[in-house]
Amino acid sequence: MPDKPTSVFSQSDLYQALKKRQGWAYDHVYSELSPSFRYWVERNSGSEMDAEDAFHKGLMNFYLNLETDKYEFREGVKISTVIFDYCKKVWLNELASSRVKTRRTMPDAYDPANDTDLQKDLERSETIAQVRAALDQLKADCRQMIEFFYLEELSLKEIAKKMGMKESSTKQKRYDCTEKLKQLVLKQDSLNR
Amino acid sequence: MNYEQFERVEAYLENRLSDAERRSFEREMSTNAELKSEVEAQQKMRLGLRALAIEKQINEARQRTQSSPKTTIVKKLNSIQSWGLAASVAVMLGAGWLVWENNKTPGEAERRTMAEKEMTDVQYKSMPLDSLQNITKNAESAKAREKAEWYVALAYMHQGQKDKAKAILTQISDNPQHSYQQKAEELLKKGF
Repeated sequence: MPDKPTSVFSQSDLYQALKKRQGWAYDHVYSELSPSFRYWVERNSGSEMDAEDAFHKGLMNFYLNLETDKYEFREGVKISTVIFDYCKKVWLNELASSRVKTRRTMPDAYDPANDTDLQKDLERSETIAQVRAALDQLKADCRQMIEFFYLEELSLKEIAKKMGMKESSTKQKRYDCTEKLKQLVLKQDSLNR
Repeated sequence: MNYEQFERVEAYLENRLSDAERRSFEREMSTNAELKSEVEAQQKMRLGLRALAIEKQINEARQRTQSSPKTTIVKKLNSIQSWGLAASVAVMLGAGWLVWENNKTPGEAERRTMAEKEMTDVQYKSMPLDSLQNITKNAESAKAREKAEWYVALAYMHQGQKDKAKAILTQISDNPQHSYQQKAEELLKKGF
């Protein structure tokens, strides 16, 4: 379990920790919100799986906005309330989609189609899917390099040690693999147009 | 794009340029379409990678905070090495088995064996759950999507997540067009 601050933390501490992707902060949000959100989805025509799916999508939308400064800290606002709202909107959008609206009724008057912020957040998921697909097409050594550098945020020195390479070679390899990934993303993009 | 150009774009996107460098870069970008599209491509790739890093952290938080008590018990049972204790457990299991024989509802271990028997494709079997879930949503071929759905259900069964497995198997079995409809129906009858 990641280190959690011993004293009671403020909303500002939580905001900063989430921005840095600290494990204790992610754990705090997950354990605080997951049961109540599942309960809310199940009360609003969804299953446990629907709840988890919408919860993860909502968390992703919020964390991306947080890291790219589209969401900024506001004094007096509880972060978990904001995140719950993000997740709620994802599920309301699912309910309103053609896949489910034929068999389910909307729980309130909110219309996700008119929520431009939400629609922008959801559009990003297409880009994410393209990058994921491109990453899957990379050769194992390159994929490993990208995961170490961008997903685990290891330094080139640490990567060199893990991959049994010279540090100077990892610098070039990181560039080569990132270029390959970029080309594959562009290819995915042109395929989808 | 060579290494120096790549690094310059990266420095711009990571806000590592000085104000003067930044202004100069942006001026250049407004007249150089190639540079502009390079920035957009890197921006897009970096957004996707950032999202994957966040997703990894969300899944880890889920694992750390949502461990099922049932799984913990099974793990603990698996780690028991003492024969004496194992004998007592065997007596308890024996009693449990008799109860099971009476009501004929397979337990977690049986479902795990059933799932293993069905996992005949080594590639799909070795894939992490999130990759399988990704295929169910993003694969171009319907066959691949359906196969991944089937394997997601098997993976849940194998992990002891009975309700999730059952929900997916029911969805598959309710869809007459699904390639695994019959298999799902059989597994639902045998395992739940």
